[in-house]
Amino acid sequence: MRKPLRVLLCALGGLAAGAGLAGYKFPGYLHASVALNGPEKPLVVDGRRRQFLALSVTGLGEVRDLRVRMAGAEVGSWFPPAVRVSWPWGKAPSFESGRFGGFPAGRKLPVYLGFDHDGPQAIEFVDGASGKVIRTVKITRGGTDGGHQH
Amino acid sequence: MADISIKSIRPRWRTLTILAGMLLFLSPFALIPQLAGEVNMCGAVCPRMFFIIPAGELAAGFRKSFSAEWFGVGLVGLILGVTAFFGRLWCGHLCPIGGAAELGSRAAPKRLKLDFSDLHAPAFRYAYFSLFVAGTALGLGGISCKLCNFRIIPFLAGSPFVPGYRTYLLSSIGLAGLATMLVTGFLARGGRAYCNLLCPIGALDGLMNFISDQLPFARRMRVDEHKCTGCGACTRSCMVWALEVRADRKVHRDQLSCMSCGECEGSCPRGALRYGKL
Repeated sequence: MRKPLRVLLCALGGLAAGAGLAGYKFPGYLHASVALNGPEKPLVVDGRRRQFLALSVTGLGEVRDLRVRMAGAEVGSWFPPAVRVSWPWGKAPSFESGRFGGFPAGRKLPVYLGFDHDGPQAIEFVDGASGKVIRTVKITRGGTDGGHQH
Repeated sequence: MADISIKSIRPRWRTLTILAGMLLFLSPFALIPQLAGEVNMCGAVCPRMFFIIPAGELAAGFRKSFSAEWFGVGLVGLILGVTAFFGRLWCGHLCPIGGAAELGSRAAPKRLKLDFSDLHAPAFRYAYFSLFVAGTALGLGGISCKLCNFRIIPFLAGSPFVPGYRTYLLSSIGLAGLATMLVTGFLARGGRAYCNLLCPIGALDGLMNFISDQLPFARRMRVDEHKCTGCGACTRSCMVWALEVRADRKVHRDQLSCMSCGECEGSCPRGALRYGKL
């Protein structure tokens, strides 16, 4: 194949791959930001039964001990590190059984939830120190596949 | 041409540096991410989100992303700075992501491997990269974390230790990422097709490598045209198909793709390939 044609076809292929991936929404997957200090907004998932939510939780304010709970869901995070290294700075949060601890102010926390969407469901964010529910985020079913929600 | 032969320190040296990169950046130790209070290459360590053009106000959007991914900004700055002087040492010698795919591909049977060398890598790469950077601003949607190699490999490494990684990898997006790494990494000839076609860090680094190539202080893998006979032996050893025998029967090197790994050097029967300045 002549080189200019090859270059053109490959460039078009790259554009097609980029555009296709940019617009594609993975079924049963939603990546969303949840601001605990912002207005209450539901999370809208697609019609699939099995759902996976990847949440970035912000707006923790003075909370240093956060519990995430949702009935019937597997609550996970990529914390804690498998082998904790004791640097004098940049300490990674601890996480166990849905509870985050040891994180500095302003920290953004990653939360994963895997669940079967069978009916009305909600995620509760609880201040572990006081037991008070800081925010309840409802999960509703929408018509389109999930993507990224703020 | 002032040159320094790195024949004596390759390829076992490169395997060791890649393994060192995996030790530094991946679970279970994740020493470098833990410096930033993270445990993988997401969050503050993410090296690929901060240069995505935001929808809405540019300055505020970039300030927010630079602040959120501050460690990734520093890491990419360091990578590009090193590349300007010494070539793509990060990509070719240290990157735990591309390196893990390359090492994994060495274990794959040759008959299963896919050869992507018919593709014009820079054309595909920079077309894809342009939409990676501008897709959100253009209203097409964001590529962001989709099929992210800086997520899949660290999550794979962490999956024996952290259940959250396994849950992610078994979701639709995780399975798609695994399939992509399988096809363009572990089963690709050389293991570096993802690096050469889809990695936004590779795209930036290739651009820096190309731009700084002719600067007097820049060390690169270079072809000595006086010694080169155009036999093409080196082209078969290149993981990113950056070498090509042209009509003048000399090998030409595409510095947009070359990873400065030095694998070609030992394959030349005439010693026409060297790492050095112009």
